[in-house]
Amino acid sequence: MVSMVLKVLKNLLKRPFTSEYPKKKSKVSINFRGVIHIDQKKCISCKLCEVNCPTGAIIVDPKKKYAVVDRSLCILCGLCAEVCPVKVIWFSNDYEIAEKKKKHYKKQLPGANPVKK
Amino acid sequence: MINVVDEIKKIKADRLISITSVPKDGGDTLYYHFSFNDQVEIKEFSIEVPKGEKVESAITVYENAALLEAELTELFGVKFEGNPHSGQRLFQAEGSEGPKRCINIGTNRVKKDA
Amino acid sequence: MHEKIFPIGPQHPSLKEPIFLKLHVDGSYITKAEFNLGYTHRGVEKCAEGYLLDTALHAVQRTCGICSQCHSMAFLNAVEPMTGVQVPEKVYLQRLITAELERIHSHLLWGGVMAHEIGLETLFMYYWREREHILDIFDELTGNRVHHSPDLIGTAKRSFNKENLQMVLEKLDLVEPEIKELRNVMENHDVITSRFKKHGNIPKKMAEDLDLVGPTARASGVNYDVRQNAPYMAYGIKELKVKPVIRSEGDSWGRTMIRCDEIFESMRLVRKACEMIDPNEEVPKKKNLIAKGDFSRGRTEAPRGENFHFVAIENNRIKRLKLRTPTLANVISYARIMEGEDITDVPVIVMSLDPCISCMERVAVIRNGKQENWTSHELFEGKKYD
Repeated sequence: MVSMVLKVLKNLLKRPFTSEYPKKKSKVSINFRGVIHIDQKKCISCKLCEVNCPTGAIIVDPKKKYAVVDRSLCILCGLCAEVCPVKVIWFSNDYEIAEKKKKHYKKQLPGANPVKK
Repeated sequence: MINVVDEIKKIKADRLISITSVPKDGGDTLYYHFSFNDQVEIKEFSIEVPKGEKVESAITVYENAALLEAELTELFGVKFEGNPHSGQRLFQAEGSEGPKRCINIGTNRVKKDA
Repeated sequence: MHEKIFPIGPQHPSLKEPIFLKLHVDGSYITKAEFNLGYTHRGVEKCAEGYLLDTALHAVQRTCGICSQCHSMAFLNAVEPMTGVQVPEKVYLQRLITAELERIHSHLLWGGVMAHEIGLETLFMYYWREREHILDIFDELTGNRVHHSPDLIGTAKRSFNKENLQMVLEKLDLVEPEIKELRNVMENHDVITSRFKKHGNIPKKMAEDLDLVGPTARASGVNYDVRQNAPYMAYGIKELKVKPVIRSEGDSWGRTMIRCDEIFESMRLVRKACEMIDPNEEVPKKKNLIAKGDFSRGRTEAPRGENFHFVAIENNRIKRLKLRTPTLANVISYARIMEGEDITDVPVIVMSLDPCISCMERVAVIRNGKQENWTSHELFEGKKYD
């Protein structure tokens, strides 16, 4: 009983540990696997990413001839980025993926520069 | 009814780990997994069960077979005789119909095209 | 003498996952207990059927959020000998560091929920504050806080370098003095010792007859740990041998103290393994492998007991996958140990066996009183109803 009371008194004088999420964004490390990006002008449509995907989220469009990803099926495993021969797929640090309508998941995000490691 | 208890007693294992069933055309193959020699080795004992036949329950030799056999009865329809827990519904609500046999897709899985 | 049935669940404030307990009650003493399962059945064994080996590994890793690395290692224990691949020692040491850190994080989570059951909310918050430092380590090493998935067959996705290993040692030095103070509270606090001692007894003979596993059996005096009896991967090296903690009380207090002591043994293994890794070596690249043979099996020591996987292969694709998790082996003791206890002791007894219900179950969809079976294509695309 006594040890618990001493511990509580020590913690009264420290800063709180909780982070205020919507006002201040939490920090993640450089290696965090976030939303997936594809540079569609440089894709050579070799279909290696489509064969290796576990859920069938990334498909090479037969009319447009570049790879298209459905972000609601992607499990962020990283196999497509490892297998691609021209390195046009990368992961950013963004963790806010949710959308309001189901058809918005197939829209392509504007490509950002890959994170330097 | 298929007799299993006499052969299990001859093996004289330390522990029963699990019971698995692999479905095939016209019935099932049941595998019993045992461990020996102070938990170092694992060996299997397998029998073939044609469709619609009953198997004798192993509850008199190992007590924890009650829950493992009830799971097989509910998901695959293999019936065991002499198990007091076999009527207990583990995975379904009361009042629903009996167990449906799982459809085995097998190894010919084809991905849908765009 | 009137006998009534007192239900606990499926939804209840004292349970963290749904389970249905039916207690036959006379006054406030329990005479008989039954249980029903099946509220979070998701069909993992069906999802992995018919796929290639690397794809099925990603389905198996997502069985449980708390213990995801131990399912991945049990699947690799079964499949890697069938392909005949030579795995370098650095990959084994990386897998050991992730597995032992996961054991620490699972025991800290359990300690917080146990304090929440008896009403000590402050102790619950202190346990989960220390857990945040461990999740920051996972973010740096593997890329995600839960569902880490750092493994491929025969190799790993990235190799640890010097800054990663230094961060691991700094965070462990920061967390260790606080966990020692929390262990003191669990051992000496008046409310905890009076509510936990002499309730939920499991004598040694019952633990051997029912074949219980994990810290539940080790608190009753049974000496069984998979890392000691049948060592796998990096646990065979001489400096990394495990000394399991064994107690003889067999009640809820004994099971609490075992989990508090296992955290320090895991920290010793992580510190030793960090010294033995060579930080300049790179892991090999991914290869396409072919598996030979009919079936194989593998087992590991999860935070809750012995985990067993059975894999049957045909044409390099999976024909049948079976998981037997440690909670399924321990749940049969619920019916025996609750007889003669009071209703108010039930949340403490249920939580002291540490159930992880989402690991245990395999989808039954019930609509309008009838049952249907869905295939995995229908689950991904959404079935339409009239």
